[in-house]
This record gives sequence, structure tokens and C-alpha cells, in this order.
Amino acid sequence: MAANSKAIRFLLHRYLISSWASKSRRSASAIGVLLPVLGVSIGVFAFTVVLSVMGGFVTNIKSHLLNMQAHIEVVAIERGKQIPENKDLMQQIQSISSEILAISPYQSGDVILQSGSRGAMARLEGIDPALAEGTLSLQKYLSEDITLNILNRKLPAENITKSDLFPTVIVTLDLMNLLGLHVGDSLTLVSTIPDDGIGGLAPTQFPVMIAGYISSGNFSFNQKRVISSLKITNQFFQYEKSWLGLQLKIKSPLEADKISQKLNKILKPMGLRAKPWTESNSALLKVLTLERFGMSFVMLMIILVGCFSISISLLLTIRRKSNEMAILRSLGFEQSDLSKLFLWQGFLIGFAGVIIGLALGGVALYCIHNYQIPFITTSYSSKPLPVLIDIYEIVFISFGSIFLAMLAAVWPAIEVRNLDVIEVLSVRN
Amino acid sequence: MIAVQVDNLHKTYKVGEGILNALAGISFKINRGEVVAVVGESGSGKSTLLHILGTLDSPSSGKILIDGKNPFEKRDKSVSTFRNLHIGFVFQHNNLLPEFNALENTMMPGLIAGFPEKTVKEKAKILLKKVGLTKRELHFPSQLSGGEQQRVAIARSLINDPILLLADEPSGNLDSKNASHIHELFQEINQSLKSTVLVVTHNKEFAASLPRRIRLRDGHILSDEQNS
Ligand SMILES: Nc1ncnc2c1ncn2[C@@H]1O[C@H](COP(=O)(O)OP(=O)(O)OP(=O)(O)O)[C@@H](O)[C@H]1O
Ligand SMILES: [Mg+2]
Repeated sequence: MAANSKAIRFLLHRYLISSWASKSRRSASAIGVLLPVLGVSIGVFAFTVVLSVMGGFVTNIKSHLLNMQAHIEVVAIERGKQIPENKDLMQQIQSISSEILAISPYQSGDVILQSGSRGAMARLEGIDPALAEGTLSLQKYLSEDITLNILNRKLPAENITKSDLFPTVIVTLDLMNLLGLHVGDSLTLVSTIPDDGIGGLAPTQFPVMIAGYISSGNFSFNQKRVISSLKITNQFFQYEKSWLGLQLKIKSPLEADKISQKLNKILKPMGLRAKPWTESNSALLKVLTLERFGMSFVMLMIILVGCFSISISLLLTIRRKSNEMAILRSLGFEQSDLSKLFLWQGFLIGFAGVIIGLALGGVALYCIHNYQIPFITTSYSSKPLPVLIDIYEIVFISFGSIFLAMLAAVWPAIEVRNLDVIEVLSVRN
Repeated sequence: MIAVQVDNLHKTYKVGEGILNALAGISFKINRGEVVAVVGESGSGKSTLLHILGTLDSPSSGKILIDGKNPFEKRDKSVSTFRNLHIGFVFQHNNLLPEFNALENTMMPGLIAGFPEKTVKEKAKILLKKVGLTKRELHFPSQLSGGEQQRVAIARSLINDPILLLADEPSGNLDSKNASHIHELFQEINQSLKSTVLVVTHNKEFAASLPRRIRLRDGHILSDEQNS
């Protein structure tokens, strides 16, 4: 028969909680209980806050990515090969899966932008303004008063006195700033490949007018994009009616890989393939995953250090309380009862650490999410930070920490078994 | 009725190259309700004998029977249970758990055994009254004098109605007045509760006042005197 669990509970309660009431034992309790609890709670606090802020950051990046890009692109298997315009193909692809919400053709290629003495490399993207409304969610990033439809129009440029009408483009805000231009200004698209036509090796020059800009706020990736209509782009690149590919919008972007596989079965024989957004951004996604992994590792180390402090404190407790442990043995405690006493201390210290860490983390995340905090906010964005609390992650961190805390108590639990009762009694007698 | 039977008990320690016979073949019997003093010079093996009888230590060879049972036939688990239910200990000093008050200290063996808290508490109060500490129930060890602490330890040793009460120099740390108080207490307990008591003491008067004395020397029984 093991010692009654009630007796163990009684001891635990006294050692961990009510010993605080006694002035003479308070400092021992502080070292034995408070410090390891704080150790664990700091780890849990840091873990939840950092992962949640990073989670918010990543989700934000992904949602911007998914708004500014197609979820899936269908392109020729042969890299860069043009696909002749083919309305039937669009319908055919859309009929493959009910997951596909919209489909639109696009063209894309490198371009040099020139304005006065300034120049820049950029990516020229041609879209079908009407159809692209369905596949891209660019609208909320566009400068006020314009829609993609403006790309169908020709407008006069403000910085040129000749009242010619120019094809319109939408550029990213970064690019506009780089070239020192404003909405309404004109600029020249210059091809990167020399024109091998009759005129010799001169590059194609193509004046256009900036009808608006795209700004993605804090997340300015793909900073150098010029968007124009499919027709204009084809004209610039001197293609007949053709596409580089099709852009697809799907119901659940996170399923893009799966749907792409399904599409590929049918597309492959046609010399086409589906490219999910995860593939197009694999480098970025890999970096984000790696960063998250690295952060988790560092945070785990903090929790581990906290758990080490549990080991240390409990091992010291064995030294400090060896006389009491021997008395308990003389009163009928088994070795395993002493072990239990220490495992429970590890568990309870870990548990308290997790609860306190989560509470502090919750408060911190609430503040980060709702208030502008100097230092954190300014270096990153002017608004409060986005926060994403992943409940599974929190549960995992909590149980993991408690598990580690118990693991930290295993060593003391084994050590206390080896307590030599006779030796302790002889030394003091 | 024989409470304790010891047959050819040996306890040897390895010390450096050689071996030391702390107990070199000891045999005796103690009847139920007897109070026996164990005396002898320092290092004669008194504590060793007490620890083995109390199942805290195990014999190198030989046999002990307590209430007809050999506690060492069992594994550690049941040895601890045996100790909890049938053995009461009082050591020289520092017997008490400092985080618990006198009443809680007295209750502890009963709680470890898993007896209902209420009954254990009532019984602890009765025992504390018997040792004259009713007013000190809620005091912590640090608030009690050495003599009072020993009295709490005696009350605690009796809470589970042990077959055998073992005391190792229970008054060794006390002044003569407190010591004689403790000595009286042992005789009183023996008379009122009919407990079997084995008490190690250096106090000649106390030893002489008890009905039987086992004298040890170098691990042997030198004499076993009984007042007739
Ligand atoms: N763990 C041990 N290792 C080696 N020798 C030991 C050990 N424990 C006790 N001894 C020896 O056994 C002998 C008996 O010791 P014990 O403690 O029983 O003496 P004692 O009669 O209680 O003495 P005292 O009156 O001083 O308390 C001593 O010589 C002691 O040195
Ligand atoms: Mg001794």
C-alpha cells in the first residue's frame, strides 16, 4: 500500500503554497518555488507572444500574396512558351473543378521603364481588366477613384504638352516613387530584348501613361510591377494574340497544391501545367517556415532553462529537507512516495508557470494587438501589430512545458529514492 | 505473548579493507507490554539495533520477528506499510516536520495510512492531551521547546497504535527536568496503553527505573538484567 494520496497532497500544499505564510520559510519558498515558476512562465510567455505575433505577420503576408497574385497559374510546361489565345481552353479548365471560382488570361515579361534620365527594371503584366477583377483582389490596393477597367482606356499625359492619348498602366507605388513620377505622368516602356526587325537592333520604345498605383501598405513585396491590359502588353512584346498563361482563383487557397495536382492530370497531355501560389512563392514560404522553426527552437531553449531551474531547485530541496524526507520514511513513506512528492512538485510548478505565462502572454498580445506600442510598432508599421493565436500551438506549448517540467523533476525524483535514511538519522543523532 | 523476537542478528559494515561488526549475533525476546532500556557505550550498536527493529535498516544475517511476522520477507512497499502501521519512532531531536503544527505532525502517520482525517484528528488531540500539549496544538515546531517537541514526537509515534515503540535517546538533548518529564511519560504510556517500548538511553537513573535493561558492548549483549 502506498502512502495515502491525501497525505501527499497535504505535504504538497504545505511545501508549495502555505509555506508562504511563514516569514521564516518565505525566502526558501521563493527560491524553491517562485523562481522555477517564473522561469517556466517567462518561457511560455515569450513563446506565445513571439509565435502569435509571427503568426499574425505570416497570415498577413499570405493574405496579401493571395490578393495580389493568382492562387494557381496555368502555364506551358516549356518555360516561357506562349499559349495562343483560346477561349475554349478557359472553359475547359474551369469545368475540371468546382473549386475554381474565376479564370483569366495574363501576359508577363521584363521591361525597362524610362522617364527622363531615370530608369528602372520592372515586370510588365498584361491582364484582361474585366476578367482579372474575378481572379485578383487588387481593388483594395488600388489608388482611389480607379478600377482595373481604366486599363482599357487611353488618356492624355499631364507632363507632356502634346495632347496625344497614351495607353494606361498601373504601377506599384514603390516604382512610382523610384522614378519620381505621379499619377497622370507618362513614362516609356523599353524592351529588354533588342528588336531584330527591319529598323536594326534598336529596342522597342512604348510611351504609356500612369493611371494609378498599387500600394500594399506594410507588405511591399513584388515592388516593381507594371500592370497594363493584355492587348497593350502583347503589342509591346510583339506577340500575336497570345497568353503566357491563365490565372485561377479558387475557393480555398490553402488547397491550391491539391487542386493543381488534379488539374495537372488533364493539363499535362496538352503541354500545360498548373503552378500553385505556394510554388511561385516557395522561397518566401520556406524562409517564413524556417524563421518560425528557428524562433520556436530559441523559445524552447528558454523553457528548457526554466525547467532546469526546476531540477536545480528540487535537487536543492532534497539537500535542504533530507532530515524531513528521512522522518517521512520513518513514518511509513515509501521511496516511491518521495518520488511522487517530487514529480508532483515538478508538475505543479510547471502548471503554475504555464498558467502565469499564458496569462501574461494574453495581456501582452491584447496590448500589442490593440495599442500602438512605441519601439515595437514604429520599427515595423505604424499600426498595432496583427496577432494570430493558434489554439493548437498554445495547447502544444502548454502541455509540452508541463511535460518538460515533469521531466525536469524526474532526476530529483530518482535522487530522492537514493536518500540514505540511516545516514541522515546517524548524522543528526 | 512475544512482541519482539531477535535471533542471532548480525549487522556488518565494510570499513576500508576490513569489516566492522556493528551487531555480532544478538538474540533476545521481548514480551508484549514490556519496557526495555538498551544501554551501552557509544558505538556499541544500540542505534543499529533500533533501526533494524524499526525496519529502516536490514540485517546482514539473522532473523527478527515482530508480533510473529518477519517484516523483511516483504518488499520495500509492504515494509514501509508495516513500519507505518506497527512501529513508532522517537529520535533524539529534530523529529518533527517544520512546516506542520503539533497537531498535524501528530496526525501524519494516520494520514499516510489513509485513515479518515476526522478520526485521526480526534485521536491526535487525545494523545496531545496525554502528553500535556493541548494548548500547543497549533504551534509549529519552531515555536516549541525541545522538551515539547519530544512530547509531540511521542504523541505522533502512538497515533497508529504501534506494536512496538522505539526511542533512540529521546531525552539525550534535554536538561534534567525536561528529561525526567519524558521518562515519566514513557512509563505512563507503558502503563496506560500497554505499549511495548524499547528505549535507548545513556541516563543511568532512567535505565535503572525501568524493569529490564539490555546492555550492549561491541555488538554483543553484555547483560540482560531484569528487576525481579
Ligand atoms: N554506515 C556505517 N558504516 C560503517 N560503520 C557504521 C555505519 N553505521 C554505524 N557504523 C558503526 O557501527 C557501530 C555501531 O553504531 P551505532 O550507531 O549503532 O552505535 P550506538 O550504540 O548507537 O552509539 P551512540 O551511543 O554513540 O549513538 C559503530 O562503531 C559505528 O561506527
Ligand atoms: Mg546511537
